[in-house]
Amino acid sequence: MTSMELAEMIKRSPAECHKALVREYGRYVYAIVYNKLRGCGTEEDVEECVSDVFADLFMKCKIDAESANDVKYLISTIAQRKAIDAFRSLTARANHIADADDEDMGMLASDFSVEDHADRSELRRVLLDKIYELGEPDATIIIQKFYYNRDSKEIAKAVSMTSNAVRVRCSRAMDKLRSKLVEVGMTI
Amino acid sequence: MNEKKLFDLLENAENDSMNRLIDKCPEISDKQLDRILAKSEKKFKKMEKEYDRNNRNITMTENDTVEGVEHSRRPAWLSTLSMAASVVLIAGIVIGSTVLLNRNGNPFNGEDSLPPSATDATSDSTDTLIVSSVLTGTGTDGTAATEVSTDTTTEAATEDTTEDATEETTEEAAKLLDIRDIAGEWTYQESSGNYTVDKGARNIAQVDINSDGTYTYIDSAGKVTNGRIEFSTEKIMETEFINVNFYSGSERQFSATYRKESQDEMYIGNGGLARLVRGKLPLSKDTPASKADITDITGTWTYQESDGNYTVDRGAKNIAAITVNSNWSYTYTDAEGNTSYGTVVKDAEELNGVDMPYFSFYQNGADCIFSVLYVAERPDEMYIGNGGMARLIRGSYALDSSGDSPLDIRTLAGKWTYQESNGNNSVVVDPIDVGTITVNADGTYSYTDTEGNTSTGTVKTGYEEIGGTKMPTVNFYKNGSFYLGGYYDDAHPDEIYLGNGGMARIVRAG
Repeated sequence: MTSMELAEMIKRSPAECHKALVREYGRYVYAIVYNKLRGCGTEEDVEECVSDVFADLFMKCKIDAESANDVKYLISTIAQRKAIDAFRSLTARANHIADADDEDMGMLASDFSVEDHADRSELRRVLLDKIYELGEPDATIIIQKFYYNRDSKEIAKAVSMTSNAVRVRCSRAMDKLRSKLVEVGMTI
Repeated sequence: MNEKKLFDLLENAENDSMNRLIDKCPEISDKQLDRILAKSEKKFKKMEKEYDRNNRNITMTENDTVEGVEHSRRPAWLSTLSMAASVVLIAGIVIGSTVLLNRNGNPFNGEDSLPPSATDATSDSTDTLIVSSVLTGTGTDGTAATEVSTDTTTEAATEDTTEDATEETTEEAAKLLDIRDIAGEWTYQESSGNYTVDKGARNIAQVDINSDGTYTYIDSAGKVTNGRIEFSTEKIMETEFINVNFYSGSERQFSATYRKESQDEMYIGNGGLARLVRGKLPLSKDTPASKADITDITGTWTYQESDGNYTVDRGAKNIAAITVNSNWSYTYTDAEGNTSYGTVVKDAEELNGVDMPYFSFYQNGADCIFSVLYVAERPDEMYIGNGGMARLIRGSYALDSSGDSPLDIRTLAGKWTYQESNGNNSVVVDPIDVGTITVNADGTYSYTDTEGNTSTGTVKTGYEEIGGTKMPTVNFYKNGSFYLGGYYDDAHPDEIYLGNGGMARIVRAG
């Protein structure tokens, strides 16, 4: 959707425009938010954050719909920022309790390690490469099962197979993935 | 569990990895999207109001500038008046505090002037409500009863501005809906598990709505709750909804949404997980089948398969003994004494609109070897699959030996290629070579995959009687556990299909 289309839709009917935005970008926003909140939030937290993203987007559309050159880029930016806010809010309780031991105070300067970050980034790329090497529908099954935490019944609908077939394929695909990861020095 | 940890690595992905994860994101259901849209609209309306309030009366163009100072003259007597007011206020605080302290110091001052508590307010409300029923009894119509009831709420909490707002909305709603439209017998339903209530429901309670604005709620345990009903309106996406609020005393128990297009059902909440449906339906049992636990299947079971001629309940072979433990582990021992271990996982599957629990048996935490359906009414047998050809039956029975196989192991000796399907067609159409198996005449084998990894084990022959015909079977065991198995066909001695799906086979090499 371009900014001109968006502006025209808003003028025609804001309610219809909002509905169209949620239908078209709902899954996109969900995936971005889920990536940030997967480890700290519940499914309800993710849904709440997705609705925050769209509320912000509707507000942006109301004030100045035409300034956004690329709507998808705008949505992606809002989603990432909102998800980071939600992540901070959800993990705030844990962060408020910290040992302020004098010896450790020097380490509080930064908990971000460039080296670790680069390592994780590389491992992430390798892992996704190896999952994609499994081909379809194994890659979809593996990601939806272990990353998106969907059960076999839900995945079965997505890949048009039976639940039992999904379970068997998942088990075999995981064996293959293990072997592939061992080859490149990653172990599960 | 390790798999889950591995996939934690994918969190906080950068753009290129994120794009791949977005590609594989599951579809979001229309209901979930509607729910997100409704929430977003609500938040947007709030933000919009705040924005409008902040920007009211400020209309500037690009060429406008702000300059100059606004002069104002305050009346000369204003400072004197402010000082006098301050003195009066301070004196009032001092005198008031002194009086209050003296009053608390003497418990026998004889004055019964305690401030009215919230409970008092509630009891007032109830009293007046009785008056409303009396009015109805003498011929007042339902609308009048609702108005009296509403007035009561306002009286009970005169200091609460929120309640005033509710009153206004209640009056508006009362114009749109008459209590007599919804009077009668209703059933309170909740979703039975994984789906919305319209696809699978449990009947939780019966609700009788009376035309005098009262209701009676009777749950499955026979507990009766009485209360009153109030209406309110809510606007979502420019559509006006009428909420029917069920109060017990001063507390709202639940709220149902009335829609003129669908007058025989009123949904409770936004998730589609509960509703009221018109009519008196039989209530569901208190413990739904989906609440089955491992303790329901803990114990000794026998794995039975059909003898080939009929379903397993009419003619069965006892294949293996299974012990299920309360810590979600199991032991599987076949007729030849081979034992394997694994874990049991519970899940639920919808059957005829009802969620039925099933337990899956995973060998060594990896391969699901079979799943059984648990039916609370038949706790001593659990069927595998839908064909009625295999089941677990509670108890320990003598196992049927596979007997002498018509197939000599030496027939199989030699080199075989292990092939799997490419995922799109059967292995016959698109075979992919996955590894090689060398079967030795002494009943051992070695398997080497395409990467050169080698494993060894034993291979055994047996037979299964299907329709009176003995079908020779070939089973490969790794570390004492069953690994692969298939049927041997004399007509095709150079290929053995593994499993029933046509997705894997071994073919003689060379």
